[in-house]
Amino acid sequence: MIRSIIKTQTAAETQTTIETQAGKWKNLCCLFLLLLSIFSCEAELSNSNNEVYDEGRGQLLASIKQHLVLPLLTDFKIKLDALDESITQKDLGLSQVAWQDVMLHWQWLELFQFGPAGVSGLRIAGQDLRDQIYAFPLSNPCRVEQVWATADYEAEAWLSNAAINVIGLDAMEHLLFKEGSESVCPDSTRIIREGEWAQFQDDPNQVENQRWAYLASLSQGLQQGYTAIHQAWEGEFGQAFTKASTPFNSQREVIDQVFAGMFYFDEVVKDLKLGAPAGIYMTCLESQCPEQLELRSSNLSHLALANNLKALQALFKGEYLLDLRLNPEPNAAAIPVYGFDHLLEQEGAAELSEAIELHISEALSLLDNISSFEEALQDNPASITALHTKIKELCDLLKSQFVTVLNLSVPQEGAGDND
Amino acid sequence: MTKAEHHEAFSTASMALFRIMYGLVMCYSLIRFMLSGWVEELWIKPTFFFKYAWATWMPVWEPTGLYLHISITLLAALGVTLGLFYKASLLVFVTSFIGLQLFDQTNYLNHYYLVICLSMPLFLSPAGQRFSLDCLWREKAVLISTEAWPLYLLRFQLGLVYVFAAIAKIESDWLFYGQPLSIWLSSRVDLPFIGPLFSLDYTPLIMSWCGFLYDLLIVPALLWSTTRLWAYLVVIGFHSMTHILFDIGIFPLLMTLLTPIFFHPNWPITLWEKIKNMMGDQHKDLHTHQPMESYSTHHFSIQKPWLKRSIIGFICIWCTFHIIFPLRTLWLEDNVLWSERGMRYSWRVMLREKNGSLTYRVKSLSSQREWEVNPKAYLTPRQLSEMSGQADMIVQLSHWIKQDFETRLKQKVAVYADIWVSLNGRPPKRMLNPNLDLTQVELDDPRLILAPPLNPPLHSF
Repeated sequence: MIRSIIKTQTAAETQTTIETQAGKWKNLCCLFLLLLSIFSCEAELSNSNNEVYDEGRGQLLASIKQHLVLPLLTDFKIKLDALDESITQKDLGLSQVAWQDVMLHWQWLELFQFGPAGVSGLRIAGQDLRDQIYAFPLSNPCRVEQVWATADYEAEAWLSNAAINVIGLDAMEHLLFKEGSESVCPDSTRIIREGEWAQFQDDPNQVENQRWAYLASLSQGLQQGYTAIHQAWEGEFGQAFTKASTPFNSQREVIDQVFAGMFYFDEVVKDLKLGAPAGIYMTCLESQCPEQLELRSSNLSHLALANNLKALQALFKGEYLLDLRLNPEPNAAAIPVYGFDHLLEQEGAAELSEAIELHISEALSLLDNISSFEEALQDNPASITALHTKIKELCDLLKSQFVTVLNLSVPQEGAGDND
Repeated sequence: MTKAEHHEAFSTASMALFRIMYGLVMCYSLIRFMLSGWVEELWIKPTFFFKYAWATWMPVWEPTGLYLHISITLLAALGVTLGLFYKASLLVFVTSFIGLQLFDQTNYLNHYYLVICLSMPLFLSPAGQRFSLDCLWREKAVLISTEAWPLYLLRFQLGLVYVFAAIAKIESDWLFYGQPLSIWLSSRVDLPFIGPLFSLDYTPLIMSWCGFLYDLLIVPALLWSTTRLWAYLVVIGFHSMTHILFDIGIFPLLMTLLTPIFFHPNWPITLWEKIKNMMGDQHKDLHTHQPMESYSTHHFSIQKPWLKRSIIGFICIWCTFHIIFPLRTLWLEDNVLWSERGMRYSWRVMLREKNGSLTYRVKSLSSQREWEVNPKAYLTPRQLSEMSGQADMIVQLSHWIKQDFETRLKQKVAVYADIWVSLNGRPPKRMLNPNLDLTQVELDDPRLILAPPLNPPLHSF
């Protein structure tokens, strides 16, 4: 009985379907093939998008390269050469001024920690080059003193192998601004425990000679770091950045990288530069932690933060203003200035752009009333708290509506799927 | 044979192919998971895991255990695909797959939930006794026809996704403002061919309506033989588009390969016959006398009345649950997209672009000293991104932060949250009550989640 049901039913099904839908099956086969080809070609599609652009996003990327990064790097080089010269002359006063100039200029570039300056493995085309120039918050004056006292910098290929906390601008700060002969290292460190530091300090000539030799070595490292970053931006990376070509898959991915750079404000500026010293952020369990201030020896913390804000402002305006530049680039004139403010306007979110720019201006105004973070922590901690609050509001805007409107990806969230 | 009996007999071919596709997609998904390094990203790197409230006991294995767990899941998925020890393989697969989902709530995806839901109809169906190694090697009877209910149950389970996805789209952001599609499409105008279309003002709104109508009508269109072929063409087009535009993993592939279950139940055989006929014209000598299945064949039906009654009863409960549970949001007075209450297990797929900026405040109860805590200190970027708009996860992490601070400070603390959320491009609005100690609050406390924004989303028309 069952067998007969099966035979009757299946035969009927087959016959009827073949007769009525014969033509359709050919189409179905084609559809399956089409489906397979679409899924297999998707990756290729996303990589072959170099000819089609969103005009606004394209202009933004070109503007970032031509009106921000390259002019900032050009000026950085001019200042770096001046620092190099002052170190060659072994003039401490001159070197301090030149270093301040370089350091504060670099604070503009801190916001551009993507591409060659970004962390390898985290940022597309990241080469860790930022760390060769500046290592905050990983600066370590004690380690710098160890290298200074033991003249480790004389070793062959030392620059290539040195830890990031004994090279760069922060190491230079300690060498140029350290006062007195006391070591900052705890007693348990080898140079203190075994008397190397005390012996080193006994010979002021040696201290000075090794200071300048170490500084010269660091200056050479800065030049190398600058050259590598500049070459990347002038070369393949710079082209890939504006054209969203390999290693990028889309303009969206490039802008995600720029946005990842802007996270510097949330993670470093808000939490580490302001929150931690003021005892607001979790890394400081005491009432205040001034020892966590950035650039404490040179007392440049507030000016550094001002330049971070100005860099963000420039990113929104699309240019490093001509009147600030030491060497305006004539070639860039043909490329229109286009910042995030233009892009937000294009997306119908001009109000958000205005809100962000207003927050930046207000934060800069608050900074104008602070002559030194260290003094403000002692005399007027409320001024630091107010500034922190303003920066937090700015970060809230960047991490919520700004991300949403431009459909950006929060850095490193990529693993896994969505739905 | 009665007329009724004749009408109840359906070919098992499409169900068997459904099983094969289901297993294949899962094999692909698990292999992709391992090759992409996601095991490390999702389960080895994090130091904190968000747990489902009903499965807080679920541990996350050490790396070796994790890879072993995934390997077992993969082997079981392969068993399902090949139909080898089918029911045991399916049981092992779904159990271990559920285990993977329970490791971290961050990784909840609607299509993983669908995979789990589909396992029950598949288990009850005769899908493993056709085109399977169980029949070929283990001499299990080939079930060539079946009663109607296993097929209907599979169709029901799959059809629910579309129907509820359509219901979820009946809201103003989607239908009147074309959001969040407008936001998503505006960042994809660099796509070849179709990209320029996305920059037109009304494209997102038109696509929103198309998406809504697609979800609403695709199941009947696939069931009706007159529209079936065109409907499947639309299925392919729709899911290919979503695959290209969004990072939704295996979902488009899964749905495209499983929707033929709405076709005539014998469609694979018909297709095979057609191919055979086409081949036969040219290679008669090779294929004319090769039967597709040369082993004994049977009809699948449940003979024992008590078993039949039990299964019917179970299916009724199962179906009622799957209809009512996604609708639970109707009883809540919330805007689901804002509060996220009822968001999971209700097929609300790709409905909102939501990002939050979250800062915890830890307050010492003895000294009244307060610290800000960036949740990034405890989470991976993906966890942070997922949890920043979800109250239950924010509350969960607050308990961990409390524990951490109390250990470090040796004093009692309260934990508060400042969370500003932007929904579909609106200006950010505070989502949680900043004055509530999250470690002392219940999730259903009406004071916890603040009112949703009432202003319209970002729109350009």
